[in-house]
Amino acid sequence: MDLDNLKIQFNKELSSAKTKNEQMLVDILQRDSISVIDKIKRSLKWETMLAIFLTICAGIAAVLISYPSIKIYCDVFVMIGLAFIVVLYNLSKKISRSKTNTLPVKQNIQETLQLIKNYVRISYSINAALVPTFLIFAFYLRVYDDSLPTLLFTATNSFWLIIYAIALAVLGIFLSKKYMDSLYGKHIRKLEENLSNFE
Amino acid sequence: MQPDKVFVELLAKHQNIIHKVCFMYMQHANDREDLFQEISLQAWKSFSNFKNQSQFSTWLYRVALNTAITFFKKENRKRQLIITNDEVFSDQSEEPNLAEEQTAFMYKAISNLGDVDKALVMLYIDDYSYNEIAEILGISANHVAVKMNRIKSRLKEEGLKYYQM
Repeated sequence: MDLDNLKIQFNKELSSAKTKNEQMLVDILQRDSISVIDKIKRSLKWETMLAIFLTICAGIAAVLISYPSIKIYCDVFVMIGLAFIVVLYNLSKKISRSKTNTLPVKQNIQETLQLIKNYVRISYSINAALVPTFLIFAFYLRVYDDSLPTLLFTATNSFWLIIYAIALAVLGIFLSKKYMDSLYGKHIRKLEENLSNFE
Repeated sequence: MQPDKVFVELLAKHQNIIHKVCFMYMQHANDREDLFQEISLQAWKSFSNFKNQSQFSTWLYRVALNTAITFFKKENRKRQLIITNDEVFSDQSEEPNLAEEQTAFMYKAISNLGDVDKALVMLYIDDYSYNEIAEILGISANHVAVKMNRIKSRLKEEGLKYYQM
């Protein structure tokens, strides 16, 4: 049997597929999409809301707290938070503008792959950079602010706290990489494989 | 957002295209339903871009294939079309005849193809010309011809191996 003969059989098999009436289709069209791009859009929405919330909290803390070093810390957090919100907003806008589904299949795969990789790269970079940045900054401020209570920081335990902080940062970067890979890794590899099938 | 009546009517009329794509890319009924829903949703979201420059059926085919090829419900649950003799002849108590056995073999061989090759096979058996296939896939008509020849040879080779067993 060749492909031409299969055509008849294929169409016969399909005639047994349950046809949906218009009301069933309307119901389907009111559900949520589960495509990867729509999932990213939803993630970005939540991440932006969380960033706005934390930035506002940091801003309030900067106004209310009297310790100079913590004030500086919160101010920097607000600035980084605002930059973060701008990045997330732009990425979200870029993804919303993309109309990949009506493109030719090859171009759709290329664009979808690019969007997912872009999101993963930005998310990973932010996750990887934020933890060590804030830990180093916190230690730096602590060293130069003698008004802070010495409950946590003493000459003897500071060394170990720095070691713990570095270990935490490395673990954070590692887990962040693993997490992003578990969410999108297989998808990216599958799309790359599909793209290579065009060669 | 309430779906547009014109769109729903068009979708109802051309839903066979979506069924075909679901049948080709998903093995299990639940997964086919999920893919059907996703293709319908993506078509609805993109409907404002449909400019009547091409036929609705060709446009829907493109959206359906794009959605199916990039669809991953859960990464470890993505299944390929693997149709066994048992599934094809599940409603028959008698031994399958030669034609049925050949059909089952063809489905199995097609299920082993990559997602892009499956799209080519689908469009081919749905009587699209090489130029139309090229337009949907975004490659040249010559490339389509080359790839179709390779697919046909591969299926033929697998057929020969199967019948020599």
